[in-house]
Amino acid sequence: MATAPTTIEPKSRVVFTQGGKGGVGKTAFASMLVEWYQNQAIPLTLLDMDTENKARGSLTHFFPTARKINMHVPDGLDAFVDVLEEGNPIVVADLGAGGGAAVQRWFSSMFTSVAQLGVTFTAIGVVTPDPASVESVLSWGHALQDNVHYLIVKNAIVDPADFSYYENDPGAYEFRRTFKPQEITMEYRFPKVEHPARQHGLTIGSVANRTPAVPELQKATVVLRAQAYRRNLFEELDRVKDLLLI
Amino acid sequence: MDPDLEELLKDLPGRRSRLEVHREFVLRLHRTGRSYRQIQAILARKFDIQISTTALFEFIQRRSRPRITPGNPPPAADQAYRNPLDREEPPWPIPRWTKEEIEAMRAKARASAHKPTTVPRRPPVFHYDPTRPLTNRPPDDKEINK
Repeated sequence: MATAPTTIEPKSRVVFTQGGKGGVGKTAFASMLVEWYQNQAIPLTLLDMDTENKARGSLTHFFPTARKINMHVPDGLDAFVDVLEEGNPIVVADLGAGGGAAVQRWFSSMFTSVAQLGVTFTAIGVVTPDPASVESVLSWGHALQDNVHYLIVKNAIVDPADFSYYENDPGAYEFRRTFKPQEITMEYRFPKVEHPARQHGLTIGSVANRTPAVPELQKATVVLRAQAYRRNLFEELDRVKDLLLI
Repeated sequence: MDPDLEELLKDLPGRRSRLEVHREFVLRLHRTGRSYRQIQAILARKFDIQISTTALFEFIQRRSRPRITPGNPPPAADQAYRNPLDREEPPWPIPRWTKEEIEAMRAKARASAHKPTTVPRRPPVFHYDPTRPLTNRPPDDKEINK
């Protein structure tokens, strides 16, 4: 884990997916993360900052209560703090592709003051076998430095998945050595589960609970797969819950 | 002074209050809480002495001060009060700061009075060069230990 950004007693936490490379599974992971919080009855506020993603791929599509925020306006990321004043101690924000410069500017000007309020941050970087996803994580690490805790999600978008760029590149090694991020794995998900669920705006959890009235998602194998995905990822999240709770 | 005038002063009788003969009685009345007006009335009734309140007040005040008498001599010169600051060597140890220590304390005070209001930015702990292509080749031991 990175060095604690502040000695102030933490009172709330903002968990956000790093923007950058698109299509690496940020929103897919974010939706599973939200279900993990909901499974433990932890109150949280959802921010959908992916203004470029089309409706079917955004966090709002899976969770209509998520608030759409444009992070590219000058004070867009102030929403991190504004929603904390409403009382929920946890904020989950799904950032869109790009946005690194906006986040860097915001942290540069606001981090010290926000940290004084007891707000801590967890940045979620999603890496895939694609080296561009690793480059994105490294550039965000350069921007955020040790102001946040890092959680790296190895998303197996193919089977078998090869994360050798993240594991072997000297820059990535330096990133791991410096920030000591926690790492979890998101296993490969079959298209027969992933695609219709996304198309209908359904989370893996709802498929696992057989709630949707979508025939192709009510097949036993699909439900069992969804249950396995949820169970395995929840176990991974339980392992790193220090980065996700206050 | 002219010797004749000094001779004249010697022959003049000393100024003595009429109350002097009743001095102890008057002071005791005062000490036991009688007011000046009550003492004034007592003196008039008992001794037929008419005296103003102001004169009575001055008499009592003057006689109430400690008097230098053969039984109560003044303090000797070496026991008299002296300002401690006038002493060359104080009777108690005083820490002596060196000039360097004093200047260091002044510099510290100046620095605290001009503290910056902003927290200096921490130097970056991680640097990433986006122009360098990534590699998935496992590093050898030399690279790791570099």
